[in-house]
This record gives sequence, structure tokens and C-alpha cells, in this order.
Amino acid sequence: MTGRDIPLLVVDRLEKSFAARSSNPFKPSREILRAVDGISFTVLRGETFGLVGESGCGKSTAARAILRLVEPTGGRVTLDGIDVASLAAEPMRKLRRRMQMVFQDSTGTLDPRMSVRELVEEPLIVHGIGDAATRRAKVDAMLELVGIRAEFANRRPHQFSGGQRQRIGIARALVLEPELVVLDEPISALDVSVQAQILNLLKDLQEKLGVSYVFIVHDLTVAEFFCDRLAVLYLGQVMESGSAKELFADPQHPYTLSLLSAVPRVGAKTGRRTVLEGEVSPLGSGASKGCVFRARCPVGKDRAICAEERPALRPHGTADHTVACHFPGELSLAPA
Amino acid sequence: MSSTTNQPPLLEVRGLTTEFATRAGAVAAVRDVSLTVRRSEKVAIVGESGCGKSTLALSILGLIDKPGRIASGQVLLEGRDLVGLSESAMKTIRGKTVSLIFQDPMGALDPIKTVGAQIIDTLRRHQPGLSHKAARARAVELLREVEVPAAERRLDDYPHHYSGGMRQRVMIAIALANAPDLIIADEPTTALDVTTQAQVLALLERVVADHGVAVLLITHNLGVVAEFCDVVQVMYAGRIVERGPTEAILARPTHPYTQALLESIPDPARIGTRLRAIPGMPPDLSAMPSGCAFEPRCFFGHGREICRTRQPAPVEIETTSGPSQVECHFATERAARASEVAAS
Repeated sequence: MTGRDIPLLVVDRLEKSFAARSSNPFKPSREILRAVDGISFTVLRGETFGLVGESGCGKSTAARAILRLVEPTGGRVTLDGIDVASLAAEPMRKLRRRMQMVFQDSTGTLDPRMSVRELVEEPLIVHGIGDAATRRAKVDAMLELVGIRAEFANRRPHQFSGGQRQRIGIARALVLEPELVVLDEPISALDVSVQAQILNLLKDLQEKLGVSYVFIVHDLTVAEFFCDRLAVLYLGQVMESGSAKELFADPQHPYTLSLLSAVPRVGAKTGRRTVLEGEVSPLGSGASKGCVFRARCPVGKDRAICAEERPALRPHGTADHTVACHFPGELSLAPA
Repeated sequence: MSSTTNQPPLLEVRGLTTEFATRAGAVAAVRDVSLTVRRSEKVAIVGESGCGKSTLALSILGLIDKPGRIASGQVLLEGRDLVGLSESAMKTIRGKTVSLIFQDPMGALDPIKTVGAQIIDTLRRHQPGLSHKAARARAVELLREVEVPAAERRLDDYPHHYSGGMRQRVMIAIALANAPDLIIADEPTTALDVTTQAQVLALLERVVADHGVAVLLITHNLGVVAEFCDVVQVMYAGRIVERGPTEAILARPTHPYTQALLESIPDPARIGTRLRAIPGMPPDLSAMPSGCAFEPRCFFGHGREICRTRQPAPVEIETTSGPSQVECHFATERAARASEVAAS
């Protein structure tokens, strides 16, 4: 594929803060919640980049800020060299054709009164693409690609299973022939056997259409299997990133290791589990210094430097593998 | 029963069929299911959406409402049949001998009552003599037991003040309140993050061991089954198609459905290959195939005459960790082949 090594998407120190909700409606809170706190990564053409982490880690907000579904409060996002945040409404609308999104719950995005054909045609109409005949041809081709039989095209969303509705959601995103699709947990509401169908479909479509994916996922097994490269997020910051192969073969950050060890697996009933204490929760004001993971970190909880200094992302081994930790590799999951 | 003691097992379900009346006639969501849960045993029912696993749980607890009904079979709790018991009789059992943990604690907890009030209600419903003060003290103990920090203070918080993981701990506390013999947990960790799931599973494992409670765990997650359960029952289209010791079944599944389910989990060892998805979808319960329900999707039996026409009877298979039962016409052949592969 031409230009495979030129980044399609460049995310540079992306930030999105919200004013924290106050418990007293008459006294607005001054606290700022940094949902996305300086995330940088690039996505090449035709590749899948994963954003991995637990709920509240900022992965979905990051994705929405990239697509400008929420306005970023800092940093830069460029798609094919175009600065996304600086665009006025009309050029932004045009650009949206090139970057689409698939949601976890397709049911919520599908108008129950519309037929599948109308649902897949809708984005084409919105973007003023083609006449009725061209659109029909495009919709038919797309439905065939995602495996929805033509004779079902006049049915409504409720007549389909969850997996098929997700296929319809994918068809709606891809019918515009976008270069980038953000997949926000596209399989986590589905059964295992159906998950496999959808993952296979997404891979096939990527091969056929050369589309790039930003894949938001909490399931590390799926991330390892599906992503070319990925970033592990915690409280809006990148803890570790690199190629999936390397990151899973040689995880360095205590958070990555803890996440990996928490996944229950068939055929691996071992004692090598680090059960993390506590839950993802912002540290509150005055927490701008130090490592955001320190409160739950089995390595750095009581270490001065972890409380004082925010660790920078530093390369580990190869240039592509980076870790934000003062003591990378110290936690190990060797069988106890 | 082949049980070594004369005592009846804690729970024995025999030939249970649960139907729902629809415009197209009665549709069976649970078909002729039999299963046994012994004291302190952890049994999994694993299957995909619509396989009938939740309906089975609700049937056991007598929570099937119209248009549903238990068409046949028995639910024996310590030898006593629960099918047909009045609602008031069931109420003395639910929350006492058998308690239930749901996937979504927010839906199970009352949003306008404090967590403490709800635990105290549960305690006093089955122990009317308990004073409010004693119930409150017991509630604090229960919250401590499920490792809710600052239990005394958090007792007066409302469910929405709790995080998802903490709410599930509250559900476990409520389930434990009246010292049950059996907890039925329906996808208890499905809505949680992996690290919280690990915490909640570790907690559940500890409390059921401490109290000697048996667990019937309903889940779609084979990883959770592998870590948590002694015995697994694989359910497909309303029937239990394979059952036996967890380790043996997950390491060497005999039923093609169990094998296919295991193979559809992404395996890091096979990166770059396609996942082995199961083609198609589970059958429409109102239009079941006349033979084996899995035949249309089965990589082994699809198109074979016997699979298309005859419902397979359970076949007993000897595994390394005890007997298993498989509803497949080719169970013996497949098991023999699998052990040849394992031996070579």
C-alpha cells in the first residue's frame, strides 16, 4: 500500500479537561478533571492502534476529542496533515466523511423507524454523495461486505440480533469510505462467538479497504490479538505504549502488568496474579505532580520520587516501546 | 444419585422445562435440564445470550412470571420440591437458604434507600426478632466482611454514592446476610473492569470458602469459569450439552460447541490468523431444528444425517478428573480421538 508509513493521524499532547461536578449546585467547583492529560500517538495508514485501559482512563474521551465530538482543551490533532481543531464548521463537516466512529451499543445509534437500507444510506445523503441509484448501489455493496443479506435490507433494527446490528453500525461508518474509523468497544456487548465474527469482519474490511482503526478496548486479550500498536492509559495519561507484540511480550509498567494479570484465562490457573487495590479515581487537586498511578501502584506506592516527579515516557529497548515509570520492569509476574 | 452419603444434594434440578407462551405457541427456553449442586460446590452454567441460562436461574428461584411457566420437572432443594410452592413459601427461601446476585447491582438496589437500610431490611425479613440496633451492627460487620472501606460511615450512603465494584460488594453482603447455603450469581462481574472483576472474584471466592456456601455461577466468560468453578455445565439452546469437571472440559472439550466456544476466544498464540468464529446464530427457539440444536452451526456434524434428524442422548465420558456427560452423537468417537491426540 502506498504511503503506509506516513502517519494518517497525529495526536500531539491532546488534552480535554472538564470542570469537576460540585456537590453543591450553588457553589460551582473550581476543580478541574483532566480526562485526557497530554496523550500523543500516531496512526499509520491501514493499521490498528489500540487505546487500552479501564473505565475512567480517558480512552473514550480521547477518541471523541480526536473526532471533535467534544472540543479538545489543548494539544493538536491532525488528519492527513489537516489540523482538525482549527477547522470551521463547514470544512469540519466535510472532514467528518474521512473519520467515522462505531459505537459499543449500535442499537442506540440506529433509528428504530428506519429500515437497514435507509440507515446505511443516511450518511451518504447527509454528505450529499451520489444520486439515488449510485447510493443504492453503494448501500447494497456495503451490506454485502458486512454480511447482511440483501433480502433483509428492508427490515428494521429490532429484527436483528446484537451482532447483526453491530454489522449495520459498521456499514454506516464505512459506507462513506473513511480513512479513519474509531471503534469504541465495538464487541464488548456481544457474545464470544459473535465477537469473533465481528473481529474477523473488521480485519477483512481493513484488508479490503485499507482503513485505519483507532480501537478503544478494555479487554487485553482482544487488544493483543487485534492491534498493531497500542497505548495503555491511566487517568488520561499514557503509561506504556508500543507494538502489541513487544508490549505483551515484555510489559514494563506496573499498571500494564497488573492489568494483564487480572484477566481470567482458560488454561492458565496460576498464582501469578497482582490484584490491584482500589479503583480508578482521580487524585484530586494538588495531584499534578508525581505519577498518577502511584496510589494503586504495587511498586511505587511509598517511594518519594513517584510522589514528587511525573515520570516521562522513555523508550525501552526499541524506539517504539515507551514507558512512563521511574522503576520500569521492577514488577514481575514470574510464577510465585 | 451416586452420592456417597444418604443426604440429598443441596440442589437437584430434574428434567426442568420452562416455557413461554407466545403468539406462535409455547416456546421452551429451558429444555429438560437436570443438574446437581452439592454443598460448598462451585458450579458454572456457561453459555451465550439466549441459551436459557438466566431463565434456568429464575426458574430455580420461582421467579418465572406469566407468560412463562415451568412446564415440567422438579427443583429439589435439600430434597424438597420448590416447583409449585406458593409465593409466600418461596419468600421464606429466597434471601435465606438461596440468595441471588445480579449482574447489575444498580437495578437490584433501591436507589432511594441507604445501603445500610437495605442490608438491615434483608436481615430482619428473615430474622424478625433481630433488634434494629443489632441488625445495624450486623450490617456493619457484613460490609467489613466484603471489604468496603469505612464500613460504618458508608452504611448511610445511597447506592449511587458507591462505585460499580463497591455496589457489587454490597450485593454480596446482602446475599450473605442470612447465611445462605447457595448463592446464585448471574454474571456478577460482567459489568466490571478487569481489575475490579479480579477483586470481586477473589472476594467471592474467599467468602464462599469461609462460609461453606455453594455457588451456581451463570456466566458467558470461560476465563471466569476456569478460575472459579469446580464443575461446568455448558448450555446451548435451552439444553445442557456438556457437563463435567471444569479442568477436564476446558482442556479437552468433547462437544463441538464447547470446543468452538473455546476456539473463538482470541488466543495470543495464534496472532495473525483468523479467529474461529462459530458461523450463524443460535436457533430460533420457536423453530428448533428437529435433530441436534447445534447441527446447523457444527463444524463436525453439519449435514450428517443422524445430527439433522435425532436429538442426541447424553453420553458418559471418562475424563482424567472424573466423569463428564456430553449430548453429542459422536461424543465417544470425539473423546477417543482427543485422548489419542493428547497421548501423541
